Amino acid sequence: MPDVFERFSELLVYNSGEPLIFNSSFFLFFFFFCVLFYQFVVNHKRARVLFLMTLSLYFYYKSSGFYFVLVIISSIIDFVAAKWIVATEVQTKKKSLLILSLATNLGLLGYFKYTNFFIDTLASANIAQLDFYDIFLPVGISFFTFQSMSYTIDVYRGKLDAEKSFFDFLFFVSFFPQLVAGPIVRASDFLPQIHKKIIVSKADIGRAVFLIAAGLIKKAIIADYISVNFVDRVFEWPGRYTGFENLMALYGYALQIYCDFSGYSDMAIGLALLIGFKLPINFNSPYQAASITEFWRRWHISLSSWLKDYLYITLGGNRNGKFRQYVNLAVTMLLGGLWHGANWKFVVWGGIHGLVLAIEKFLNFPAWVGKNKITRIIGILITFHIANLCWIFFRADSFETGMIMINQILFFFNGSILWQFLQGYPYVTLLIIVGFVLHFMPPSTEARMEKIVTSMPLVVQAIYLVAIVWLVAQVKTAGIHPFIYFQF
Amino acid sequence: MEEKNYRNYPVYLFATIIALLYVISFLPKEQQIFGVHLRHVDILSDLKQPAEEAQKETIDPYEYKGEDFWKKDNSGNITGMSPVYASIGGFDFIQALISAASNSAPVADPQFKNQELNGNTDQMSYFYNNLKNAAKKPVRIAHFGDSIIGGDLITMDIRDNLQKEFGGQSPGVLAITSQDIKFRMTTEHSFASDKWQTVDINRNPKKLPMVANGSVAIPKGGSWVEYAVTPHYKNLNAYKTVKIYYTDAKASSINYSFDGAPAKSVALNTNAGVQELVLNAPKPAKKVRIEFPVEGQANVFCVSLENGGGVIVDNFSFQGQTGENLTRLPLDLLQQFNGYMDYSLVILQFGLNVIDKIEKDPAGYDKNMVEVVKYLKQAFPKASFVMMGVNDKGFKKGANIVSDPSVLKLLAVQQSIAKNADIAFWNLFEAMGGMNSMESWVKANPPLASSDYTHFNDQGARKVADLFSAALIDGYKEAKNKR
Repeated sequence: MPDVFERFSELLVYNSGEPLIFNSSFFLFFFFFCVLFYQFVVNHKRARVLFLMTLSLYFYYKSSGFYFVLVIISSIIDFVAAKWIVATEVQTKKKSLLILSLATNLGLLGYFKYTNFFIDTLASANIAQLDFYDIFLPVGISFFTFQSMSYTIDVYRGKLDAEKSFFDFLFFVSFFPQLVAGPIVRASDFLPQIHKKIIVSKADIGRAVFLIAAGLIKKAIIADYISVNFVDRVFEWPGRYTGFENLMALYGYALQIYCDFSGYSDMAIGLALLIGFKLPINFNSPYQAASITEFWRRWHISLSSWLKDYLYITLGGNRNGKFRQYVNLAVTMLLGGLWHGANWKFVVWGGIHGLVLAIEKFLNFPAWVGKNKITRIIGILITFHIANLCWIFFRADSFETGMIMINQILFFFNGSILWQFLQGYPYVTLLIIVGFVLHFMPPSTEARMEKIVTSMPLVVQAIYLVAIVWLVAQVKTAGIHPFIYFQF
Repeated sequence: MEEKNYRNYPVYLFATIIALLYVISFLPKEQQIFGVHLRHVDILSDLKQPAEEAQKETIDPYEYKGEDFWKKDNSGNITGMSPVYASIGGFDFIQALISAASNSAPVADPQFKNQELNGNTDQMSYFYNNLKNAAKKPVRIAHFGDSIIGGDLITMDIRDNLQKEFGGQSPGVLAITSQDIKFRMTTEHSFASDKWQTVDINRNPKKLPMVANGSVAIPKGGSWVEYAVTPHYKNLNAYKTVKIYYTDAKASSINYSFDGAPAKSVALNTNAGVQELVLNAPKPAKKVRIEFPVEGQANVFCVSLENGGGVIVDNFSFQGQTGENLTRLPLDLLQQFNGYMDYSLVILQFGLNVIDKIEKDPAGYDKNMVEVVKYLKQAFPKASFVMMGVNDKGFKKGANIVSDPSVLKLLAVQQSIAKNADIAFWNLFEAMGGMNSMESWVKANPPLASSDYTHFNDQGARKVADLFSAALIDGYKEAKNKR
């Protein structure tokens, strides 16, 4: 019997390489513990904030070990900086305090995420040869630093009062549902919720169950299955597959990255709802967009609106003439690309998006597609394929691999293997089709499904979630399907 | 009126979910619905004793015992020692569901282990003797396998290693049309894809003739094929002789040209049986082009690209095959082909395509493959034979990649085949590092295998070839010292 306790205590401590993610059974127990004890503190504001904050820091510890201290340090600096910004009337002092706060956040981000990237860049440009540092990338650092920055900038701009309680602020920065993978919550959206009475309506519960279920299906069934069993392999060796398979892998990847990312966001939003907090929507069927401009209003909304409000507008937005606007757009998109990872390929990816945005603005493309249904469908098809072209460089290991892929699609298409493909990858095909069909459902269908889930009695909701968890387990452990080489 | 507050609802919801999952964990472990195998889901498995189900009661004739399989008792019979590996089973839910960031989890470097040949190594002496005289008389090796050797993978590096040790500069046999031209590193192969009708061993309703490479190409008129050297294997830098193997020719001629020189014409031999047409390059050539102008001119089997003697290793890749259908190659034609080639060694490397089926009928595969070896021994009567065991293949157990349990079963069957067919056996699985080694190959830097945890990439194929060549060369040296 002591073995059980030993194993249990092993589970409780940080284990590198096993971050606490929502679709793990440990998280199931963690969250049950959370909602159970939450009942005792929910009516006392201070107690409930301390309780959730402690759990959130533990959650972070479980994912990144003692780096949870970073969250605390960065919060202390931003909290104090904001307080002093409000306290002083001197504009230059306000500004230097803001710079201190931004420098701290960007410094942390820069050190942990980009040090080796710069060393590598310097080396490959033959400027300097330095050794790589052995730097651990703390989980979610890109998210919590951005959240924290939105707060000091808003306080500086006079849009938001400085938060009085440090613990309230730390709770905002560390709130576990969105800590690891977003959405990036604005202080102005979240802080007011801390002070309000916690009310969870029946509709909130229904929406939460709906979102958690949808998130599990998207992330743990569709995205994980098609990536392991098909997409990853083609991207690994595109030259060994026909253009048709390359194109299918590309469409598959477009679906995979959407399902992966938005699925996780959905779960975060749903979990937060269950404890009475509303997080902003992060994805709105992005491939339904009829222009890249619209795409960015539907894709990772919390990031793109953050970049718009805090980077693009800070740079001057569209206030300094057409030329400056294009430059601002390009800078925003290049840095937005780099935010996704410390690699030049993300910069290229952001750069192409920025270029297309500028061209669309120049041609007034979004207005043209808005004319009627047919132009809109044309716009959707064009936008989807531009987004896919960009995904090639986002996903491929190198620029060369990306070019091989494009080459295969253009010059070695071999569509005649369709039938063999369907026979060889029945489940992958099925999941890709199901994924896209769900994606192109009108919003009203989604609302209807949400209503159905809301009207389910508790036991049925539980069975619904268990059925999905069970399905996830089946998919997770299904054998790895070997490569299939088709005749060509 | 204030709306009802549901904030304690999640407690009941999650309590119900956990209770339901707990109930599910008591469902029987093996379930099947409509032929789909269902996995066992147990939320508490992390807290339970591991490997509870490890005890097996029935005696399994195909239980993998590692290399102990080959130990002999006092009277020289091969025994089997106690099992080396515990069975793999069960499934833990927590592991299963944590996966997002496990890509970054460190995995130990591959632990290669040199493996010597086992089984009947005495019959290897024919090959070893020929190796000794490789400078005087060419030593030809036939490497049969499935997709694991597609595009000359593994073969090319065995060839490279043996040629470095014993001499030789020829890539050997290539088919007329092939699916793997895009990634064949040793020869740049191109052909008029719409001008050839190719029939392979899998679909051969008209029973067209074939030799060891298992496919036959029929020109549709104006058909051509080209082979050129590549910069990747410096040893294979020219062709002095190109030999074409065919049968059932009409009275007609083909055209050929080395290095883009004006084409020459040469008549085909209309005799029955496997015919050989030898084209000699005026000087060592980098490229050869062969044209078959007449429709249905002949059944063309393959070419052999040669640059002098020494060791030549021919790659015969049968994608998607288990090896069992090699008996569909007509024996008389194989024997005639061997009349030209005179194979000293036959390597058999199959198994990946039978893994999913092996648990159902291990004895059937054993019997069929013993038949295949006997058949090939008739075709290549003097040759030595070695069977290469299947490589490790990853299997997802939760978030971890472990050895597919069927790999162990198949290995036991393959050892038994080698024993029953009285040939040598080389254990690639152990050479890779044994149990659960595939994950370390995939995660090695640079990676040695691809992310299907089944196939090797170029670097991995090189490593496999190095390990296998070392076994052959060690065996050769040992045989030489004995004499």
